[in-house]
Amino acid sequence: MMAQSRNPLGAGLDALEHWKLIALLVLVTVVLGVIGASPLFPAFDHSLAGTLAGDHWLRNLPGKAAADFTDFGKEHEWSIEGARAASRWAGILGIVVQIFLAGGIIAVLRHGPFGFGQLFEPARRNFWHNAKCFLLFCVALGVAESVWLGGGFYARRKLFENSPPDAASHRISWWILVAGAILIYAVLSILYDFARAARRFSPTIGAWRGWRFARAAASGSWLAALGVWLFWFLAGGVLWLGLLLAAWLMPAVSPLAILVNFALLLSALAARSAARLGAWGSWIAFLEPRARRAAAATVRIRYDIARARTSSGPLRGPTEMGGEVSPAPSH
Amino acid sequence: MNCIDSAGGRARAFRDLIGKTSGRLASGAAVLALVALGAVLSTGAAIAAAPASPHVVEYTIQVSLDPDRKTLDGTERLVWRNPSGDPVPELRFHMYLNAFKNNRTTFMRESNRQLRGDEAGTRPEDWGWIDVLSMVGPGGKDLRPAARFIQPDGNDPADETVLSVPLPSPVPPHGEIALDIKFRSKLPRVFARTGFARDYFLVGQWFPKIGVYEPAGVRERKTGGWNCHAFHGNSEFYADYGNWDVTIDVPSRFVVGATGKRVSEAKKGGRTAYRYLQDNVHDFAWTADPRWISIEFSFDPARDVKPEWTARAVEELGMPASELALKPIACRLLLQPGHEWARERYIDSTKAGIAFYGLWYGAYPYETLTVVDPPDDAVGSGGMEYPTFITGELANPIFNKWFTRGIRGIEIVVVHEYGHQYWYGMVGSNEFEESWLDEGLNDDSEARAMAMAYGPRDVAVFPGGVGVDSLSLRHAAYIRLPNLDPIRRCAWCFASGASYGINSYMKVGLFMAQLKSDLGPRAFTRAQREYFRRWSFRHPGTKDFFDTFEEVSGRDLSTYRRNVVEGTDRLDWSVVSAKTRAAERDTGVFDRTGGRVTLDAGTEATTPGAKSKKPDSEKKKPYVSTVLVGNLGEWPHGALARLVFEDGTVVERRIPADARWVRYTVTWKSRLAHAVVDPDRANPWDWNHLNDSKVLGTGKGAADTLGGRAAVKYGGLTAALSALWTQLLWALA
Repeated sequence: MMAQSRNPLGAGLDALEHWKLIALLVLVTVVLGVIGASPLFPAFDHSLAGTLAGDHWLRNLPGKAAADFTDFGKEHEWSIEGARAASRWAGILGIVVQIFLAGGIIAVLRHGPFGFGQLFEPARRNFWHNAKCFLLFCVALGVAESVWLGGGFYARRKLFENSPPDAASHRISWWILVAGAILIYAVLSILYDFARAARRFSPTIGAWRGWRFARAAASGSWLAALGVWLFWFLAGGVLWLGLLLAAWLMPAVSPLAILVNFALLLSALAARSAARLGAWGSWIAFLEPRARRAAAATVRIRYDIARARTSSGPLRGPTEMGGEVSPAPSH
Repeated sequence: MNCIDSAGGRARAFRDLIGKTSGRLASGAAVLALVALGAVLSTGAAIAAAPASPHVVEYTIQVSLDPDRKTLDGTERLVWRNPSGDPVPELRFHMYLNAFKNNRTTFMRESNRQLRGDEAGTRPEDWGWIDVLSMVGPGGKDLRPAARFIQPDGNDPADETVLSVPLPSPVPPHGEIALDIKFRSKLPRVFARTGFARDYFLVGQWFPKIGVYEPAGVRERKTGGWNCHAFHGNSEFYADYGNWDVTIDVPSRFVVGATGKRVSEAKKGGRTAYRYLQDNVHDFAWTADPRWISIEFSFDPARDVKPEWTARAVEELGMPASELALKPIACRLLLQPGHEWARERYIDSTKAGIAFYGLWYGAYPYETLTVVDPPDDAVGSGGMEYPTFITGELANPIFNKWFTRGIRGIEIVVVHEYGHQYWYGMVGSNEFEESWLDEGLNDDSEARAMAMAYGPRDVAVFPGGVGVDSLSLRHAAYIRLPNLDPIRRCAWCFASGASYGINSYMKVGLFMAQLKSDLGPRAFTRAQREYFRRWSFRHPGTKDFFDTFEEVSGRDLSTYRRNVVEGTDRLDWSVVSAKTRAAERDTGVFDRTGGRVTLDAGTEATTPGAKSKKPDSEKKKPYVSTVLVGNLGEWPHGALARLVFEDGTVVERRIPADARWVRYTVTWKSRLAHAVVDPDRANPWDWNHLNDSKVLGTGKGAADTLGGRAAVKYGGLTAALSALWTQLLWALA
């Protein structure tokens, strides 16, 4: 194994060596995908293999393929609804699995080779912490984006309703709103990841303190953190979309071409999985030099004031009343 | 004011007399005579060589736009000529803008205050209305005080879209009346064709517009009467033909476009008055916007009609190219800033439309055509037709991205709206009562024009080669619709807005495609061309359409009218079952030429211990295939059945029209690979193509089908899409 990089981007790329972990993520996704699509398999068998519609679709025959497609949609609309519902549940299950696996990933990365047993134990241990962090993330994201986008589009409509549609104000304001929404998502996403990663450095830290840990860790390094986030967002996104586009554009009629098509789709799934793992690798490396300070920022000191009485003397000791004091975060 | 008994009125009386007594040939001759007479008597501003229309109306309008108040102040001199042999004691006017006056109008209640997804505004300045301030008739008498709003369809009592004006004395048969009308219109914020958005104005149905008095015999009427309906949520318009002389006065910063030809321009005091003339039309619309980019271009037949288009028209119509000559047209495109990318697409599609409709039906008779590109905040004014003036749509820059550029929305709308110059413009069918005759016929014509100009995937082509054609689009709409309404129904009588839309447009497109398939291209196109020629500048009905088609094609089309257009019959030929099995060999006792034999699975067993002998005939035909096809729909109509065997052998049989089902039994040496009914999609009216075939296996030649592979591919693709969806959700995880 190569020497571990201290640079976050390098560390993220190092994480890609764990191909078994990437394969696990892909396998989970494929299984969930098959579950989501399964209500449609009998429909495909009946109407594509059992009639000429499949032939028309595959050959993309003008005048026939499109009409057969709409007929398929009408004839099997309940199977399609079933597949939609199954995909929704598969998607939710996917989130749960990701939350579970994240707890293990943050524990094993940058500690050398590991087995799946070493992955699943911390995953199990950190699951509820991650779930609570997820809830906090959803609430924060929902509120922040609603305020930003809702208020922003309302203001945009009011301010520019008498401007012609091609006015620069429309375009600029739209891009500002979109960029802001992406920035909000990026910031909260970073905090969410850091809050989960806090368990690597403070194995018993809770969700609230995890978020405080995250804020403290990012404090003063937001630009760097956003840079890392943007790298994995773009790298993963471009690769994901590029492979999907290649799969969409290639005609696939022969068995070999269909296999190549499937390979491209699997590659797209793998690219996304790799980007996710790479991002974790980057975050671990990012947090390592900042963890101690961030952890300290979340320590709460409880103390009780003991009244010290002597037989003859007045009160001694601090004059404060008992309570909790959080040391001010150091910069 | 006196009634004017003009030469035109005398000519019309002559034609009416001839038409009643001598039949179609004499009417045709009378029309030709009118053409000559009209050409001699027309004023210098009339369009030379325009075909004659019965000039029932003459409008002379001066209107002034107040862009701040969004109002029009106008004076209208209307000369109305009674086209019937009845004395007419009252006049009826369409006051269309009153449909936007409040939320209790028929239009607003029926449409739920929206049209094609665009919603009405609710601020005080968003409403629209029209007031007649005075209406001076014969003898200088103001007829306005006696006028009252009526609801001829039994519609909402608050609706004020039809004004009835009692006359002091009836207009005599074939007589005339002239009125001087003062009116004020307030334009609504545009959502349903007409109105304003900022300083953009699309002005349609903006003046008091006289209705149509239909004489007995027109559109199967038994007696004459007004055909002047309220403005309903789903209805459009109906009016008589005539001359138009309109002067539009606007602040000079506005660029104006309108129906007809601009003949003068006069500036005064910061305002400009543009005068437009147009003959032989039944409506007038205009637009004004300071931001218009005005692009003049011309349609030149020598340059813009491709030889292959002419060749195709010659072949389909069976007419020489010399009879299909078109004439140049001066065109004008009014383009919005920000839509410059769409300029060539607008121009090319306009030319394609002019070429197709001209070649197949007849040359566009007018000198000018104006194409309007609405702004993105006024899309409700798009996709609309007025004589010599059309509005486009879908030029938003979102349609100029690499993944949307293949959607031919601009082209479809332009070709469709141009096509309305023919169906509705020149063939003046009643859009209230028989919307299929203009929208549906035009839907079919537009599809054929698009296929001519843009190939088989005329609606859209996406990256990767997936495409959509017009017929498939129509089919998709047709099958989603609950089968509640026939095609022919008054516009406000349909079960829903979707039922109106699909029955008026897309179902008719499919019906016309079915008719063309059954009659053959030559008979169909000639019938349609004759229908256009015969009913130009007249008001045909459903019966007139079918009479023309039956006469030209020589076919009885009664089931088409009764079952399909006026009924709700579907056609759905399907392969109900298909089986193939090894042929059962003869077993039992048979009396053959050589004597009685006992066979056991084809093997002769005459004496115990004798060597068995298989008859040769049994070796060659081991399979029996049985296919049951049935029409699951109600409309009796035939189809072609095709059985394909694994060795590539093809057997075809024509299913008779009156059959409900047919069972085919074929004994052949090869197994049945697949059975299909209507393999070439000669029945566009067929409701479900998915049940048209059954596949039992594959083979060589025609039997080489890829269905099994398709199931694997699309199953895998669907699983991948589902997996990709879960990966998208990882953005939260």
